[in-house]
Amino acid sequence: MEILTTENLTKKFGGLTAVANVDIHLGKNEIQSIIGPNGAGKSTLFKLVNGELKPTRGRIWFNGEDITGLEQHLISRKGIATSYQITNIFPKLTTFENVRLAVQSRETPYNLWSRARSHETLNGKAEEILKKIGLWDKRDHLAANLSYGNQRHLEIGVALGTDPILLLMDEPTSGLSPIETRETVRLIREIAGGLSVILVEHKMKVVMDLSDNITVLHEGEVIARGNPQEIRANETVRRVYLGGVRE
Amino acid sequence: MKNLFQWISDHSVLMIILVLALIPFILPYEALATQMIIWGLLTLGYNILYGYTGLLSFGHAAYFGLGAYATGIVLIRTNCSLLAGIGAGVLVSCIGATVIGFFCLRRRGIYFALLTMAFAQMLYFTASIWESLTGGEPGLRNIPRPPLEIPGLVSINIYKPLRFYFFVWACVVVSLLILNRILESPFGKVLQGIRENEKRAKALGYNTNRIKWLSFILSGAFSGLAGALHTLYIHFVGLEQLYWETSGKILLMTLLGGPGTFFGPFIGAGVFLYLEDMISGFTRYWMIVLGPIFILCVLFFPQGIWGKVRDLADKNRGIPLERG
Amino acid sequence: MFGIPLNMLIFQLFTGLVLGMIFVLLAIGLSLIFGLLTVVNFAHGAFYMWGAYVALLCMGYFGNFWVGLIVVPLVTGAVGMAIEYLLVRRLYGLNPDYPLLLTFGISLTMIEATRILFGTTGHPFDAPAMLQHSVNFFNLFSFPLYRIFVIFVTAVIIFSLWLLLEKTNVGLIIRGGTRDSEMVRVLGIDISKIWLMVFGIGTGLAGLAGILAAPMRGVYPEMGIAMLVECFVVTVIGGMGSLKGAVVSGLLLGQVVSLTSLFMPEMSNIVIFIAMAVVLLIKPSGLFGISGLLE
Repeated sequence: MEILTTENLTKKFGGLTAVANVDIHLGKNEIQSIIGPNGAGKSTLFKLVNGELKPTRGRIWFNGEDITGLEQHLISRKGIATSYQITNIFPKLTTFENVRLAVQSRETPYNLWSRARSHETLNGKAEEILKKIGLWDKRDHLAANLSYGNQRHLEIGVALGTDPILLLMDEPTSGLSPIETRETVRLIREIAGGLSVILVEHKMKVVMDLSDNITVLHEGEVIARGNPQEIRANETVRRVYLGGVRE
Repeated sequence: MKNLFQWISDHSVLMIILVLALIPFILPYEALATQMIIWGLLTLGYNILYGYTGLLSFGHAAYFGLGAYATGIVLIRTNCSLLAGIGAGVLVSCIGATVIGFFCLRRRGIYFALLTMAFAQMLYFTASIWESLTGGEPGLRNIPRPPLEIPGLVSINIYKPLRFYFFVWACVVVSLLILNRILESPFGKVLQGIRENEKRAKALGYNTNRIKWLSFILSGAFSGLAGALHTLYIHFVGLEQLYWETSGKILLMTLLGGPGTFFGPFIGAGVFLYLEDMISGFTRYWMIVLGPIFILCVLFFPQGIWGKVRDLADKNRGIPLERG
Repeated sequence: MFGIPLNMLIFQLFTGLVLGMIFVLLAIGLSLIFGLLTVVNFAHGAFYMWGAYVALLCMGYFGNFWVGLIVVPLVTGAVGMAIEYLLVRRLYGLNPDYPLLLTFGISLTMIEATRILFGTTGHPFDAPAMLQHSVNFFNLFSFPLYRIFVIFVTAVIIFSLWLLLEKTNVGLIIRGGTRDSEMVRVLGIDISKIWLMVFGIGTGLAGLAGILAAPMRGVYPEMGIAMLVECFVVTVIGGMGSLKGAVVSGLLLGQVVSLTSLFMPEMSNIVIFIAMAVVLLIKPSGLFGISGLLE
C-alpha cells in the first residue's frame, strides 16, 4: 500500500498557481526526492501535505486515510513530521528539551502535575534520538548556542521526536559543508530504515545517492518521475533543471 | 560564586519564600511589604502568560479587578467567610479570563495585545456604569476582613498588619508551589515551546490555541487571587483596579524584574514599589521617572534585573539555568 | 420611526459621521505606521492628546485656532519623527512586542509630562468664532458649523492621503508594505527617510485629530487613552495596515456609537466593544479578512 498519495493537488494564491495537479505516490520505507528549480512549488507542496496550507483542489491520502483539509496539528498526530529548511527549533530551550518537547507531543499536554524532568519514558526516547543524531553530549546546551551544523541535526531530531511514519525534509543539507553533508546523508539513510521520507534537495549528489525515486517539478507541475537513472537520462529534465545546478 | 548562584536558581521557590518571610522586618514599614507581596503575586500571575507563554497582554488589570470586585462585593453583601470571599474572587476572575481569553485568542500577534486592552477597558466602563453593583466612581468602602476560619478547628484573626501579611504570605507560598509544579510539568514545557516557536509547536501536534487558552485562564486565576487579597488589604475596591494604568504597572514590574523567571516578578514589584514610595516623597508625578526607566528597560534591558543578573553570573550560556 | 423623530435621527447620523471621521484620521495614522514599520504606536493616543494641548497653547499665544491647525500637525509630526529616529528605530527586526512596549512607555511619559505642565484637570476649548453658529438644514435640524467643517477637513485630508499613496512614488513604496525593501535600496532611496516620514505623517495626523476633536470633546490628559482603545477596535475590525479598512470600519463604528447614544445612552461607551466581540465571533479575520503580517 502506498503511504502517501496525492491526487490533482493544486494550490492557488489569488491569481498565482503555486502547485498544479500534482500526483505523488510514495511507498512504504521509500525515500523519494522532489527536485525542481526555485519557485517550482516544492515548499508549497510540503505545506500542503503537512497541513500548513489547505489545498485549493485535489486530495491527499495518508496511510489509507483521506487527510485533505485537516488541521495541521491533527495531521501531525497522524504521523507526518517536517524538518524545515530554515532551522525551526526552540532557541531558548536546551537541546534535550527541544527533542523532549517533540517526544512529549504524543502524550497529553494537559498534564499539569507530574515533573517533566523525571518522566522516564519520555526522557528515554529523547535520549535515544539525541544519540542517533550525535547531540547527546550537547544535551544541556541552549539550542540557540549550537553550531549551524548541529542545529540542522537538531532540526531533524525534533522532527523524529514525534515518531513519524512519514518524514518531510526540506533541504536538510542546506548550508552545510561537504563533510557535514555526508554526515547528514548517512543520518538520513539510517533513519529512513523505519520510515518513509520525502526529500526536497538541490544538491544533486545527495539526491542521486539517497533516493529510491525522484519526482521533478517545474512551475508547479510534475514533469517527470522515475528512479535516479531514468531521471538523469530524461531529456526534459536535463533541459529544464539539471544543467544549471551544483553537483 | 557561580555555584552559589546556581543553587539559588535551582531553589528559587524556596529562596523567595524565605526572603518574603523576612521583608516585613527589613523594610521601613509593613504596608510596603504587603504591597510588594500582593503585586508580586499579581506580576507572577501575569508572567505565566507573558514570560512563559510569550503572550503580551495589555489588559491584565481586568482579572485583578474582577477578583478585587468579586471579593469586595461578596464580603460586603453577604456574611461569608474569608475563604469564601477569596474563592469568589478567584472564581470570577477565572470566568472572566475564560471568556475574554476566548475572544482575544481569535487573533494572533499584535492584535491579541490590543484586544486584551480593549476588553479591560470595556470592563472599566461597565464597572463605572453599573453603580448599584460596584459603587461606581467612589467604589466600595469599608470592606470587612473576616478572620480566617476553619470550622470546628481554628479561628485566626488577621486584622493586624503583620498577621495579615503572613496570611498573604501563606497564600503566596501555596501559589508558588502550585505554579512551580505546573511550570515544571509537561504542560509548562509546552507553554515555553509555544513562546519560543509557536508554529513549530503546532507542527509537532500541539493544539496550541487551546493550550494558550488554558495558560490565559491560569494567569487570570492568580491575578484574581492577588485582586482578592488586595481588596482585603485596603478594605476597598474601586475603578482604579480596572484602569489601564494598573495594567501598565503590571507591565512595568514584569519588565523591570525580568520575564520568564520566578524571581523576576517579586524583584520587579519590589523595586517598582520602592521607587514609587521614594519618589512620591518628592513629587506625586513619579511616573515621569518610571516612564523613562521603562523605556530604557525596553531598549537596553529587556531581560530585566534578574535576567541581567543571570546573564552576568553565567557567561557561558551554553549551560543554562533551567529555572529561577 | 422607533419613536424618535426623523430629524433627531439624521442629526445623530451626522454626529456619527463626525465621530467616524476622527476615528478614521487616527486609524489611518496608526495603520500607516504599522503597515510600513510593523510597529503598533501605542503612543498614538498621546500624540492625539498633545495635538489638543498644542492647540491650546496656540490659542493662548496667537489667539487663533487657524494657526493651531497648521502648527499642531507640524509639531506632533516633528516629535514623532524624533521619537522614531532616536528610539523606535533601534527595535526594528526584533520581536514586534518590543516597539509596542516602547511606545507604551513613551505614552506614559507623555501623559505624565502633560499632567505636570498643565495640571490634571481638563481645559475647555472653544471652536473658532467664525464657526460657532449652526447651519439649518431644510428646516429639519440644525447642525453646528464647526462639525461640518471637521467633516470637510478630514475628507480633504483623507483624499490627499489617497492621492499620496496611489499616485506618487513615495506612496508606492509605502504601500509596498515592507520596512526594508530590496527594491527601494536598489532604486537608491534612503529607506530610513521614508520611515521618518511615515512616522511623522502618522503622528501628525493624530495631532490633527486632537485639535479637531478638542472643541467637541474637551482637553484633558487622559483624553488619548479612551480614543486609542477605540482606535484599536477600529483597526482590529478593519485590519491593521489597510487604509480602506480604516476608513470603512472607522465610519461604521462612528455610526454605531452615535446611534447607540441615541437609543441606549448608558451603553454608548461599551457598544464599540460589543461590536468588536461580535466581529471576532463571526469573522475573526476582520471585515476584509486581511491577514496582517502578524496574523
